[in-house]
Amino acid sequence: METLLEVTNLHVNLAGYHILQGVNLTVPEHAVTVLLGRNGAGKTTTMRAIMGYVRAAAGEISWRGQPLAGLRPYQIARRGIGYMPEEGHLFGNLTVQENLAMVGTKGTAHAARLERALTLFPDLRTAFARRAGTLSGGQKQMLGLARLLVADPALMLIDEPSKGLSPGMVEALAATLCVLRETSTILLVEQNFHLARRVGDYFSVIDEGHTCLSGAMAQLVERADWQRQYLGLAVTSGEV
Amino acid sequence: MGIYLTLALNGIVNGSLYFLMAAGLTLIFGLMRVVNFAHGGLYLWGAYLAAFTFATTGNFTLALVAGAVVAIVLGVIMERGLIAFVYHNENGQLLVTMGIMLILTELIKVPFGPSELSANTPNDLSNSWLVGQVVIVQYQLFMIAASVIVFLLLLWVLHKTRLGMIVRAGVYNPELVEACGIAIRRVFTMVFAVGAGLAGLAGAIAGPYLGAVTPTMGFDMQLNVFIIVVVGGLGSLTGSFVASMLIGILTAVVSFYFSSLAVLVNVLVMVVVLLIRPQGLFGERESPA
Amino acid sequence: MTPRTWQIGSLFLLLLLVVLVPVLFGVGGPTNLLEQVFAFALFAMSYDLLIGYTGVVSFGHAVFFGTGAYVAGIFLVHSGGSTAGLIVGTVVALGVSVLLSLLIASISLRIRTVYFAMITLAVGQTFYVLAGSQMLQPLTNADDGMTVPLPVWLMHDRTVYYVTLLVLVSCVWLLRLFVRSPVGQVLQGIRENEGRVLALGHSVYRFKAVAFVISGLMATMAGILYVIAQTFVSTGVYDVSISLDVLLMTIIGGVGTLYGGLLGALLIIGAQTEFTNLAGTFPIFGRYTILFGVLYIVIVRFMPRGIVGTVAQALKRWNGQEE
Repeated sequence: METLLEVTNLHVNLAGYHILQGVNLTVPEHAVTVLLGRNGAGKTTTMRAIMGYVRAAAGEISWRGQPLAGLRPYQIARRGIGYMPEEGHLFGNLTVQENLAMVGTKGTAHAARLERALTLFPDLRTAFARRAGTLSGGQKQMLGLARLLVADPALMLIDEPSKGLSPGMVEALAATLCVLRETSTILLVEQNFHLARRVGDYFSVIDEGHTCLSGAMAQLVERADWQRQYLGLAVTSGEV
Repeated sequence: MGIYLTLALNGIVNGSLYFLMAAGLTLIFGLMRVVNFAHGGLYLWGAYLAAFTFATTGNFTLALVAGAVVAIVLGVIMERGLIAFVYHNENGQLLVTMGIMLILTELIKVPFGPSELSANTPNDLSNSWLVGQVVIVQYQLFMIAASVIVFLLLLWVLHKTRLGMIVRAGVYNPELVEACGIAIRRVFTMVFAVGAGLAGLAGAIAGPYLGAVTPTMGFDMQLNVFIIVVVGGLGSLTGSFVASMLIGILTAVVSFYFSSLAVLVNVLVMVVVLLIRPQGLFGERESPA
Repeated sequence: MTPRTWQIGSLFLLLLLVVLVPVLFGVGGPTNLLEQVFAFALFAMSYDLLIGYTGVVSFGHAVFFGTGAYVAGIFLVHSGGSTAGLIVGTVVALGVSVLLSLLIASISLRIRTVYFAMITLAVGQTFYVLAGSQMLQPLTNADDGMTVPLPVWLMHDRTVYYVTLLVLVSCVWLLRLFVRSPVGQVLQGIRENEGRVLALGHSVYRFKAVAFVISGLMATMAGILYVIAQTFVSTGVYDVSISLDVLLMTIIGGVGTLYGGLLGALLIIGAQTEFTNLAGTFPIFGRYTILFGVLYIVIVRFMPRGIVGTVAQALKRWNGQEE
C-alpha cells in the first residue's frame, strides 16, 4: 500500500512557543489514520503545517514523494489535499449551494459528486438556498464534509468533526466517514476514541508536540495499557 | 424648508462621493484586513490627473478614465510592492500606508505646485434648475447617478459572478478560501485594484464638484471614508452605501451649523457604533480567521 | 574599560557639550535649534511610552503637545507674561492633560488598534480646526496665532536655553525612574506577553492608563517648552504633521528604547532645518516630507527596532549576552 503523505521530524514554532518538537507520521493510501492526543498536544498544528498555513522550522513533509515545503495552502490544496478545520470550516454568509460551489462547478464528475453529497445529506438539499450561517451545528458539520466530498481530494484532513455533536449524530458521522473512506484517504484528528476506533485503520499519538506511538488501530483497541498511558482512558471504549 | 431640502441634497451628493471611496475601501478592509491610510492618496492623484487632463484636452470622459487608471496603477504598485509584506502586522500596516500617504501627498506638489489647481465642470453637465426652493445642478445628478450605477454594478458582480462569490467568501474566511484551492492573494490584488480605481474615479468626479483640487483633499476625505466603512460594516457594500448617505447628510447638516465640529461629530458616531455594535451596522461577525 | 564606563563617560561628555553650546557657539541659531530639539525630544520620549510600552499607535499625540502650548500661551498672554501666569498655565495644562489622557485611554483600550488610530487622527484634526475657528478666536486668535510674552527672568536666550535643557534632563530622569519602577516593569511585561501578566492578576487596563497619563503629561510639558522657546503659538502645534513627525522620530530612534526619541528628535529637526535651508537653492528639498514618508516604510521593513534599538541589540551580542 502506497504512502500518500509522510511527515518526518516536524518542528514548528508559533508565537515564540516550540509547539511541535518532532512529529513523525505516515499516512497510507485508502485508509483512515487517526491523530490522537490530549488537548494542546499539537494535532491541529500538525494539520495546519501539512496544509501550509504554518511554516516548519525543521523537518519534512512530503506528498507522493514530493516535498510540500514552501508551498502556499492553495497550491497544496490543488495537489489533492482537502482540509476541514475544527472551526471556521464553512462560509456563513454564503448559501449552502455557494459553499459547495467554492470548490469548483465544472464537469459532469463534479455534478455527480454534488448529487451524491446531497443524497447523503438530505438536509443540505432542503437548505440548498439558505445561508450556511443559519444551519444547525450538526448540519454545519455535514456541510463541511459535503464540501470535501464534492471536492474529492486524494487526501482529506479532517479536524475534530464530532465536536459538539450528539451521540446520534456521531453515529451518522461515523457512517459518513466510512463512505468517504471508499474513495479517499483520510487523516482524522479525533478526541472521541469511540469514533476513532470505529472508523480508524491506523493511529498515531502526539503528546507534548512529538509523536510517541503509532500503529494499527486494531492493536490500540486491544491494549488497554496504551489507552491509559497515552490517552488517559480508563478501561476500554470511552471518551477522553 | 428650502434649507433643509438643500442640506439633504448636499448630503446625498456628498454621500455619493463618499460611497465611491467607501465601496472600494470596505472590500479591501473586509477582505484583506488591511488598513490603507493611503487610499486618500489615490483619490488625490485621480483628482489632479483628471483636472489636468480635462484642462488640456477638454474631454471629460478621458479625464475620468485618466483619474481611475492612474489610481489603479499606483494601487497595484502599492499593494504588490509595499503592503504585501506587512499583511500580518497591523502596526506595520499603519506606518507603511501612512508613509505612502505622505509620499503621495507631497509628490503631487512636485509637478503641480503646493497651491490649488482649479477644476472646471464640463459644459454638458453645468445646467441647473430651480425646483421649489432648491437649486439642483446637473453635475450633482451626475454624481448621484455615478454612485448608484457603481453600487448596482458591484452588487451584481458580488452576487452573480464566481469572482464576487470568492470575494464574499474571503471577507468571511480567507483561510478556507485558500483551502478550496483558490489563490486568494491574486484576488486581493484584483480587489485592491478595483478599490483603487474607484478612489481615483471619486477624485476625478470630486474635482469639478469642489471647484479645485488641493494637496490636502486626500487627507480630508480619507477620515470620513474610514468612519463610513467602520460604521457600515467591514466588507459590506450595502453597509457602506447606507453609511455614506448617513454620514453625508450628517456632515452637510453639522457643517452648516457648527463647521468646526463636523469631523468630531462623525467620530462620535463611529465610537458609539463601535461600542454598541462593533461589527458595524451591516457587518458580518468576524470569522475565526 | 567596561562597556558601562564607556556609556556613562560618553553620556557625560555629551551633556557637557550640550551645556557648553551657548558658550561655544553663542546664542541665536544653534540654541534656538537645540531648544526645539529639546522640546521634541521630550515629546518623542513621551510618545515612546505610548507606542513602545503600551503598544498603542496614535496619530493624534499633537493633541497633548498643542494643548500644552496653547494653555500656557493663553495664560501668559492674558497675564501679560507674568511668572504666576506661567505657573498657573502649566498647572492647568497638566490638569487638562490628565483628563484628556484618561478619556483617550478608556476609549483606546476597548477598541481595536486600527480604529483607535483613526480616532486619534480625527481628534487631532478636530483640535486643529477648533483652535483655528472663529468661535474660539478671542482665546486663540485663530489662524494668525499669538505672540507669547515671557516673564522677565526668561527673557534672555541663554536662560531659556538652560531652562529648557534642565526641564528635559529632569523629565528624562523621571521617565527613567518610571520605566525601572515596579509599574514600569509590569508595563514591559505587558509589552512582552500580555497574557502572562493578566494571569498574574494585574489589571492591564490600570497599568496602561498610568502609562497614558504620564505620556500625556510629558507631551504637554514638551508643548509648554516649545511655546517658551518660540514665544509664539498658532494652530500649527495641532497639525497632523506634528503627530506624524513625532511618530517618525520615535520609530527612527527605536520604539521601546525610550532614549531613541532623543536621537530621533535631533535627526528629524536637524534634517528639517537643513532641508529647508537647501530648498532656497534647490526647491526639490522643500518636498522633504517625501523622504520622511519613505523612511516610514524603510524603517518598518529594514530596521524595525530603530537606530538605538538596533545598536543596543548589536551591543548586547558584542557583550556576549543572548537576546
